This record gives sequence, structure tokens and C-alpha cells, in this order.
Amino acid sequence: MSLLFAIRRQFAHDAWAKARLAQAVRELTDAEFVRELGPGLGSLRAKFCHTVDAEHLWLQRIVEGLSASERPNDGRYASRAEFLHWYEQVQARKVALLGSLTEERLHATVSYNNLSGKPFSQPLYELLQHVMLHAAYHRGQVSACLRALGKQPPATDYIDWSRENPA
Amino acid sequence: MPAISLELLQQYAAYDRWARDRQWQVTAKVEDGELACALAGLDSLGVKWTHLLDAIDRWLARIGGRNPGGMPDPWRLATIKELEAHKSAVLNRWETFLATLDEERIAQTIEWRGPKGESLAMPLGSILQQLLWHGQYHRGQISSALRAIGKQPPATDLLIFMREQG
Repeated sequence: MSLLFAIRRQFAHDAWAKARLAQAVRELTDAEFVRELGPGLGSLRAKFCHTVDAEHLWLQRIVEGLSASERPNDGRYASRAEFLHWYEQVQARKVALLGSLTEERLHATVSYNNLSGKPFSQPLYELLQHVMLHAAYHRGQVSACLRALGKQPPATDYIDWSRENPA
Repeated sequence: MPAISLELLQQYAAYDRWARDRQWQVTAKVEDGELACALAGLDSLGVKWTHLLDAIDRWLARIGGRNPGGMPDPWRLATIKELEAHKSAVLNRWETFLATLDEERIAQTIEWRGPKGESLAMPLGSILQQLLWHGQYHRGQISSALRAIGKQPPATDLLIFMREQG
């Protein structure tokens, strides 16, 4: 079982799960999308946007060698349409990166600075694992936001995707 | 065929253990009333932990060829003491099970009955990946629940774990 195969499958699941959440966002109103849901959740906009922004940050570091020094404002999109346009742009860039991967590249070192400017160097596969787990963590929060809005969040479990996409 | 190697599963399991321990350190200090406090979108902090542990236990039963039956009531553990006892029992079973794994074992097909009595099957490695991902999803919700009751959730990013491991 190659690492490349495992990582591609994990990202395929993540893309499927995100697409299901994005569809749930399309079915909200803009007012629901931006609504503050309390101290534990913030807003659905902030949670989903943070996840996508983090992916963009890592794509910049990995693909372009650029290390941002500031986190973007996760409340900057006033409408679902604006946010979903950003989401689709970032997903397309992620698909392009995943399509270009090889086992050799996965083990290549990526050097970057964190938001505080501190330098780090790590194999690419470790960074991709981080991106994926970060997304899964915030997927749980986006689902909780949907529930707080009175909506039924979509099933996004790995096992549901894996049944439809056996190895 | 599982879509993940034993080595990778073990790495994720080690991270999962570390992250869960970090969240428990904060959870163990909350009051019983905070644990059971109903939270919009999140049920309660106690429910999130109980669900996480119940999921592990139910899968261990299925993997062992037993039918776990219906989902237990996730609100049934009202105190930190009760939750800690459940956590300790389930995680002991989980760790004992993890120690038995090898490449051949994770490639074996596990069969079980779905909620409608349907026959389902999947390689053990894929089931374990589901459990680890499920844990990560609910870790995000536990962090939100901690924040909702005024606690600072610990950082549990994989990169922090990797740096600590050197």
C-alpha cells in the first residue's frame, strides 16, 4: 500500500465531504450563513472559511514557496456565492497539486515560515496529512453550525464514502 | 484491500491518542453541570465524549463478531467520574486491540449487520481509518463545546504532535 495511494484516497474523501457541506451551504440563506451562533461555534461562515483559507495558505507554501504572515479575515465574505467561488478556486488548486504528486515528491522537504515568521522544514506528506486532519476537525464544527441553524448536516463519514469508493 | 498501511494507521493512532489525552486534561477539570450543559448544535460536552467512546466500543464489538445492538443513550453519563470510568474501560479495550494488529490482520474483511439488518463488509484497515477520522471530526466539536462553556481548548494540530515527537 503506497503512501501516495493512501493520501490520494484521503483527499478524495475530504473533497467529497466538503462538497456535501458546500451543498448544504447553498441551501441556506445568506443571513443563516453569517449568523453568529454563540461563543463555541462562531458562525458557519467563519468555520468553513477558516478551513478553506488554511488550505490556501498551505498551497501557497507548498506550490508557490510563499509564506503568508497574516491569517485572512474569515468573516470577509458577506454572501454564500462569494464564499463558494473562493471555495471552488481553492479546491481546483488542490486537485491540481494532488494530480502532480509522486512518491518522490511526497518525501521531498518543504521549507516555509509560519504566520509568526518562524522557519520550518518538513516532508510534503506530513504537511498534507496535517491539512487533511485539520479539515476533518473543522468539518465537525461546520456540521455543528448546521445543526445550530436547525439543519440536518450531511453524512460525511469516511466509511460512507469508502463504501461507494472501495479501494 | 485496506487503503492504508499498518505503519500509517499506527501513526494516526498515536496522534489520536495524544490529541485525545490533551482534550481530556481540560475536560477532566470541568464541573459536572458544565459537562451536561445543553449546547446549541453540540448537544453537550459529555455527549460528544460519550458518542466518541461508544463508537470505538461498538466497532470493537463488530470486529469481534458481536452485534452491539442499538445506540446507547449518549446523555447517560452525567458526571466526570462516570465518563472517566467509561473512557478508561473503552480505551483499555482499544489499546489492547491495537497491539494485536499486523498487515495481514488489517487486510481481513470484517462483516456486520447494518441498522436495517443488511449485510455489510469492509477491510479492517478501512474501518480503523473510519474510527480515527470520526475521532478527529468529533475532536473539533469537543473543542467547540469546551469553548462554549468558557474553557480554552488545547491545540491538537498534527504538526504540533509531530514537532513534539521530534
